[in-house]
Amino acid sequence: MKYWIIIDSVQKGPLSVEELYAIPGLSMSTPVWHEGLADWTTAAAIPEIAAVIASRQNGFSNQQPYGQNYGAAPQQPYGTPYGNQYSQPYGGAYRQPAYGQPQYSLEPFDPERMPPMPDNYLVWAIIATICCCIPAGIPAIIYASKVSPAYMRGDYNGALDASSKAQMWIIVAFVAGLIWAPFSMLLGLL
Amino acid sequence: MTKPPVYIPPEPPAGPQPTAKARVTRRMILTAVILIAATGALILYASVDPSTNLYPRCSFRMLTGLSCPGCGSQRALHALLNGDPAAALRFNAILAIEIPLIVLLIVSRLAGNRAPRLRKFLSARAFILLLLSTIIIWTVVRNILEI
Repeated sequence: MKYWIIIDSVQKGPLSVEELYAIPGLSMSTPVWHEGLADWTTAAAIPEIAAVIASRQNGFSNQQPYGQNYGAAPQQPYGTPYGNQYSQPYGGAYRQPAYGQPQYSLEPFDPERMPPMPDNYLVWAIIATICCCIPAGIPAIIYASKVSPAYMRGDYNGALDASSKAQMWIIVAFVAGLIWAPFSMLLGLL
Repeated sequence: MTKPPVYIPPEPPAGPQPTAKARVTRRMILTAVILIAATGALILYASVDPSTNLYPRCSFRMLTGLSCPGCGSQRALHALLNGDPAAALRFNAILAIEIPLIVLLIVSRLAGNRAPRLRKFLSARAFILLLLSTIIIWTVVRNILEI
């Protein structure tokens, strides 16, 4: 069987399974067509090509720049850990219905599809402690420390939550400082 | 041999999305405001000595009589801007860690994905908790030694 694929908007084909094996950009979301299909589908929906991608990440993960992104992913059920919240905006575009196969089970866990890490506002937290608003600066630093570990776990919502709490404490620190400043200047004049 | 059909890319996710232009403009305004305020503050701190009554005082020190980790920063900044780093260090020694760290965090932020290891290091839980404990230990030490 010969396959046609589209990588970076460029159509390639006909290609054999062996030739597909040598194409570095091939991933589970790559559009694929072969004779007998009414329309294009994704690589994940064609078992032979999904097997190529899966076998390649086991054997060639050092040479393949994309290999690491899918480490042990195809076995993982779609929907964990951030799939529930982000399957719509980030994954929706790639999931086309493909002749009744349980495609979701092959959907890769793709860190590139995860939104960038939320800011931990550490600079502002440090400035808040320097500017004498320490009671509010300390929780800001503690929440700043929670952003990256949550993100690394794949818990995007947890990272976002820690980020917004750090931001809130920084705002508290600066508002308190701005309210305090004129009073302290007046007291200093007495 | 049959030809593949024309590929119709899937629809992009619907919903209002801010354009790149609008986002950049708002960020630029915010950046400009912060830069102008910082420049103004630097000129003020360079020219007027914070030991006079004109500057805000530390709430923590006025309420408790103890020095907070930031006490002395205003005088230290004035000394530093007038080319006396030794005096700056005497007013608040932890600035020797915090000022380079702030510069490093800003550099890391501007570098974005070009310096992923620096960014990972600076946002690591262990690093931030080390920073926090350093600040707390500094506060205790400076109140015991009265520096």
